[in-house]
Amino acid sequence: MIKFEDVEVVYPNGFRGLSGINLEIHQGEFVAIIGLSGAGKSTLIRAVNGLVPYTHGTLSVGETVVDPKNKSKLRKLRSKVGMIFQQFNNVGRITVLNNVLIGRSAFTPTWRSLIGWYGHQDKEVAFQSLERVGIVEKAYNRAAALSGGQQQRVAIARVLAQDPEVILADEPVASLDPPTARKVLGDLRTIQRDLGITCVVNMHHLDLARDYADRIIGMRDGKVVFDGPTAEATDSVIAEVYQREVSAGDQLAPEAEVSSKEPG
Amino acid sequence: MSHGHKVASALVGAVLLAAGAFLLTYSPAANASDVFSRMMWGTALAAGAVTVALAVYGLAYAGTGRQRAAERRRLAASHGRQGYAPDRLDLRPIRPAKFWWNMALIMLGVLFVSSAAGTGMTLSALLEMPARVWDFSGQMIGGVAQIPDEDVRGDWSSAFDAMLESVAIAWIGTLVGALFSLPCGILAARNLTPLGTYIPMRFILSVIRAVPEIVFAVAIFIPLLGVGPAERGGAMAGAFALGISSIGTLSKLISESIEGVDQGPLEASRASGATHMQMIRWAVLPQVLPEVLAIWLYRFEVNIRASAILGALGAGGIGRLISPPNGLFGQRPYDWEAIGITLFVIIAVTMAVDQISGFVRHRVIHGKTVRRRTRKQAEAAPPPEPPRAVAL
Amino acid sequence: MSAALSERPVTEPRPEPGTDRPSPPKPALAPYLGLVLLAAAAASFFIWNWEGQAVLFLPLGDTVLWAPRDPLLGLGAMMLILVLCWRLRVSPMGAFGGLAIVVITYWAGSNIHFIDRIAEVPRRLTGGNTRDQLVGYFNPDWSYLLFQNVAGTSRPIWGEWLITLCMAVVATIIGCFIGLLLAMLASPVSSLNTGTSQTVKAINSVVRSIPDVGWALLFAAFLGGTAYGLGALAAVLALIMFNIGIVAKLLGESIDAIHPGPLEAADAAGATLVQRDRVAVLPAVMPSFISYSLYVFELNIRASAALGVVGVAGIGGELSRQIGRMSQGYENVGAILWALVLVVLMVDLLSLWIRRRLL
Ligand SMILES: Nc1ncnc2c1ncn2[C@@H]1O[C@H](COP(=O)(O)OP(=O)(O)OP(=O)(O)O)[C@@H](O)[C@H]1O
Ligand SMILES: [Mg+2]
Repeated sequence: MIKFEDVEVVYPNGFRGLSGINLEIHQGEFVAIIGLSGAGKSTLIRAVNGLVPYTHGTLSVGETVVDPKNKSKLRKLRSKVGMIFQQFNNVGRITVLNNVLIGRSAFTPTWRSLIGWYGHQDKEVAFQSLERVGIVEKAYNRAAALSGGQQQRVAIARVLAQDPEVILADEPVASLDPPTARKVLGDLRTIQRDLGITCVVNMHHLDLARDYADRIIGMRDGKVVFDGPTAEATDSVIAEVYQREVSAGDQLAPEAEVSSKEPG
Repeated sequence: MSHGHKVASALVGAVLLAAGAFLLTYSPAANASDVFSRMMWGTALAAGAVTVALAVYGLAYAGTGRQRAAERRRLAASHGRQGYAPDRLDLRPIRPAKFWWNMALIMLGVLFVSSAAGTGMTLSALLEMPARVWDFSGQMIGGVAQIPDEDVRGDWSSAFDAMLESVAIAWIGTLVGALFSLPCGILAARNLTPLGTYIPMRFILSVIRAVPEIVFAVAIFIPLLGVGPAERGGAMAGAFALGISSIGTLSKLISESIEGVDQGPLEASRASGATHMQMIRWAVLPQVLPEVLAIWLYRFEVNIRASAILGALGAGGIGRLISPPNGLFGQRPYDWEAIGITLFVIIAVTMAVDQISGFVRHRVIHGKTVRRRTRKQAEAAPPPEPPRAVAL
Repeated sequence: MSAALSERPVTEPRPEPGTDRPSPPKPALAPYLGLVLLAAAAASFFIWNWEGQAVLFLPLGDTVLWAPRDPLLGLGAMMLILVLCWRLRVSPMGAFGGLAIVVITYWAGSNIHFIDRIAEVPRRLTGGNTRDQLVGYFNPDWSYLLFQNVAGTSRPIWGEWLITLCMAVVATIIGCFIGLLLAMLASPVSSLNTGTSQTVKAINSVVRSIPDVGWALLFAAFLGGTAYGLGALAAVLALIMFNIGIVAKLLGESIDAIHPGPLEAADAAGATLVQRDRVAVLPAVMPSFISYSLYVFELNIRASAALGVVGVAGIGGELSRQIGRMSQGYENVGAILWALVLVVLMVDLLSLWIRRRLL
């Protein structure tokens, strides 16, 4: 589904964010990416939908090759690839429904979104996505007036409204408390199973990754240092990724501290 | 009120507005003032158009009435009965009507039409404008671009003189404003001042802000200091008018930034037994000074532009040079070359001053080194404050 | 000076009294001597120029750059600020700033004849028509404002107020919308590319640097006169330009400062640039846009009172006619000015109310 062939990212300031990435992520997989802060997790995920242009190699999603230069092709690709952010990135001052409708942008003519006149079908899709994440009763509330977990669900609904083939999530639960984090990840997991969507998720919390992912990819210094099914990601392997012993602080019990590392 | 009722009452309101405005076109006021009668005609027309639109919408809405009634019956019947399984659609919230918001927008539209009618603009004149614009700007550009002979040199130097006079007026005005605004700002800051001084101070400041600069200039300073070019006192009048009205806005902004200071040092110095003055000097001023300087510089930029208006009323500076009766636009045919040169000087000097003051402002706020913010830092930092409108 | 102030600790440490307390570092002497030399050079320039005028020869023409009055006063002020900075242990850079402020102030003050004019105030107050003028302004003739017509026409004065308000409304609505579009184009966040954003910014700063009186004069000339309908059109066009400048600048800065996250989300959803600006940028700046629009409306009323000199319609025209009548018009000018204060105050209250309701 997503194929990295010798992909490299060099940032404009000359910093090498990714080097020599070779990966293949299959249809319907739930992949967790772990690694220390600055390892290049966000870079990897953002390269997939072209938010960070890659500079070498080929990166393809499905049949299409990601081409950061060709804006209209990139838009078409992005309409199939949804993205969820750590900070939710909802527009706070408009309603939840309108936030979800942002996900329909690629399917709406520009003039219609200009006057805010979305079609019946689009609204139906938006409502159904809200129903799937269970906050349909907040549809006409302002997005800023929701709690963090609810906001992240709005973001998931926005992505669902795109009818995506792939969902990218950049630390979707890092700013949520542990029980809410588990609920949101659970939602994501269910949706992924039901709809057969490929999910690539960045995570800081090992135990969450182990509980929810099919496959774990470990990164360090812009390179993939571990790639295997969850069962193979034993403590020693993880210690190798983090280059230190896995301590209790890396585990996230529901009632434990939110995060012992700096948030991304 | 249901949606239907709202539409109906809006419709009635629009009809009443149209009828009232129409009747007012026969009132004595409309006889006396053509502006008023045009406004009323405009209102009547716009309200009529709104009436038609609302009527069409209302009919369309009424057309769905049977469907809505059936739905209501279904819901009412199922309520309280055993085994009522709500439809999925029943769980969706009803879209809140933005009735007042829509009414406000409609009223804004009506107001626009009626004001546009009221001004009595001869819009057809716009058709002839492009040709003149082309012609005159050609002459202006020609004036700026030509190699200066004796005459043109005179134009350049009088433009420069007048513009430098404007800068001087703005500088003195800002300085007067700055000198008074710091104490006034402190007295108008809630966290430093007892209520007894705070309230009168705020009141005085808002009175000053409500008085336009030209009122200060025309009513007070031109009689006191003179009118016309600098040596006759017009420039001083302009400077003081700008200074007084600067006090109003500057003090308000300064008091706001003082109210926003970090309370820690304040409490520390209070705890260590500092007097009120000491606390202001050592705990408040160091925190707000960069921002206060930036506010002053903003005001300087604003004052340069404002001085042009005052000049038009006889208070010195560039406004005096261009405005009738004695200025460049005073007698026909206009000397477009001189006008072009003057405008060029105005633009160049204003932009240069903006650049310099922007540089100093940046330097004062951010210090010598300018760090380039990476994406990471930009995300981590809270979004910067929006610019201050009132400073202008 | 700010640097020096913030360097000092807020609460000074208290070591044993008497012994080696760290005193704030003295600034270096050499730069200060340089500053003194600079001041002396400037002063000798003033004195050399005492009677004459320093003229700056540009290739284009010459301009009076410097017309020093009372050079000894300037020298004294410069020395005073240097001594003060030295005593307060201000860094040389800060002292240079202080010196620069003194020199500019001296220049500006002598350019507008500060001391001469101040000295003349008492004489003016006691004699001449200044008294009459002030008395006239503070005894406004309200019946003129309410019941009389503009001289030589059948238009009542209150109609001129209406037309002023109408012009302000029309100009605010059109100007703010164009300003919104330009702000979108001017901010690199929402613009097509950096080229467009730079160009629009440059155009906007040109638009902003021509004062509104200048615009009104230009448009009056472009329209071919200030006859009744033309004058109103010229004033509205001038106010529109004035508003575009302000709104595009302020709103452009607000757009620069919005949170980038939602924009990225819209991008990631495959939105086009226009869609992104509509759904993510516009709602974020809507409160600022509304409050700038209200603010601009107030500015328009103030400005249109001044635009009258140009001969355009509205109360401004009447104001400058009455000012031109000199001693016959003082009470009338007073009435117009007081009414202006009242109208501005009312608009202020109205916009405060709207802001409360909306934001
Ligand atoms: N726009 C940029 N320009 C230059 N370098 C960048 C940019 N964005 C990220 N980097 C650098 O790329 C490296 C990888 O960053 P990335 O954001 O992918 O890390 P991450 O693994 O997501 O870390 P975290 O867990 O903290 O989110 C970091 O060293 C970072 O400094
Ligand atoms: Mg990251």
